[in-house]
Amino acid sequence: MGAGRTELARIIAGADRSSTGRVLVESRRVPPNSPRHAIRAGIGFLPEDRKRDGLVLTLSVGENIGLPNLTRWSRGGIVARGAEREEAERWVSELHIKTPHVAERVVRLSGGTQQKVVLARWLAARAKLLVMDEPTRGIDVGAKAEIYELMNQLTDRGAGILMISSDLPEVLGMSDRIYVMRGGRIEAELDARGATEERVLQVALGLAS
Amino acid sequence: MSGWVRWFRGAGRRFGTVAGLMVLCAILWTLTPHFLTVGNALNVMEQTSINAIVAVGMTYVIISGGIDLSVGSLLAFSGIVLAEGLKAGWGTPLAIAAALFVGAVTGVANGAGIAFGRLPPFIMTLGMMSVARGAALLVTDGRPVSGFSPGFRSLATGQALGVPSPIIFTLAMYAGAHLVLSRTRFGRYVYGIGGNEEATRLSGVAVRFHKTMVYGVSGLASAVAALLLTARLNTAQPIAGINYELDAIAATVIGGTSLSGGEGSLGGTLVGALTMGVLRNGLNLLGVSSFLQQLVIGVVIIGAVLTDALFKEKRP
Repeated sequence: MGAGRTELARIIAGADRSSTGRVLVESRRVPPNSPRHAIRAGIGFLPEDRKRDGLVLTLSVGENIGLPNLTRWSRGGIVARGAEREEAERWVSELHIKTPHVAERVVRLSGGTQQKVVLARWLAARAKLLVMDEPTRGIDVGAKAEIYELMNQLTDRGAGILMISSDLPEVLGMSDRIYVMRGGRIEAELDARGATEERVLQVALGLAS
Repeated sequence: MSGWVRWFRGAGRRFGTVAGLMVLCAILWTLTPHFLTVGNALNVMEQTSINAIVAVGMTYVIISGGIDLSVGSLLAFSGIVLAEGLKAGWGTPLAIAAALFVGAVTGVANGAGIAFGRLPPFIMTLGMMSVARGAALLVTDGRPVSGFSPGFRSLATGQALGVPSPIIFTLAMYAGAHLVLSRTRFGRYVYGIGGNEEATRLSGVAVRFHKTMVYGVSGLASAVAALLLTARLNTAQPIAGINYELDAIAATVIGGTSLSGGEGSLGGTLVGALTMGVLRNGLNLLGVSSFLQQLVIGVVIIGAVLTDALFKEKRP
């Protein structure tokens, strides 16, 4: 949309370099431009284009969940396949991921199910902050509701979620605080309780400040 | 896709290579009585061992989404290092270690150019193909180095329980390399990088480091092949290994490894290398001219890639 939202998300996740600014998690600085350090700091990233930036389609559900977690699920460089399988199965059942088994290749799953696999990966990594870029785009209504439900469970358990969305009802319905971006800047911070679609649109379009 | 079509495609992917090899063997068996003898079978496997070992590295590289055109030159260069070391009286273990080290380091240089210098694998390894060949020719002044101790030559001429040592070497290499690819974090990352490099990077994997190592594995495999070739021929040639990259790529692709990366197995590559070896051997037994052989082998390679494309599920 040109507002700089995806760019901001990618910088927080360590995917890209920023010219200025710092990322802090729990008051500790996260080294920039390094997905590995972002993950270590507890940041999980659900990219806008999950097929391009999120999943390795040729790998299985379990292997995709394992990808950022293998350092913990291996010993001396050798993957602890039993532990990996157990963890993957646990998250598959916890998130109700519709797959015949964890060895199924993610390329065969639906969009919503694939999104849940990305989410499972970060839950397994014990992420404290989830950066979700358009998490429900291209996902059917049923799976959307499930993802909202999961997001609520996560925040109830103390995780933070930074959601980027163009879907105004979704923004108003899910958020506690809303930041409106325009031309690469945050134009306004709104309390979700008092916010309306008109108000958000006005700020986004530059009709009011 | 209806159920049986899906089953057929899955089965085709899994058993196509083995079935192809078996059909080929059956045809050759009917055409020539010399084909199916223990002596000839061992002969084929021994002949195949060099290509099979080079193809181990090629499989790693292709699964990671790259290509290595420098394997033949690296083989020649490590072979020359080995031969010069043996001639200079370093002793067999040290000369072997030096050759393996040089192969691995040259491979790592390939990988560093690709991963950190962001050069396309095709260009980097094409350049290295010329660099390593030039180095081999320069060191030897273009002449072969020959005449080694029987102890060293037994690497290739020895046998255990009637099985020639190149076959034992090859099987050990495949067993080890397969375990690394299927059981270790490194192996998993190789598949991840080939399947989707960006997603793997965003999962916190040190993509550039692991990519570099993949080419190191390929260089090391070429050096191991150089040991066997040098021991078998009792000579190291600076012009050894020409066109070996084609044979290794062919073995890998016939074995079902996808040239687009992310998929493949060493078991498949071994079958692919054997298929190439059986084909060469059969054509020789049938008295087919070497010119026609080249043509036939090219057609088989193209056919294998086409079949792979047909059996493959569409990727979005």
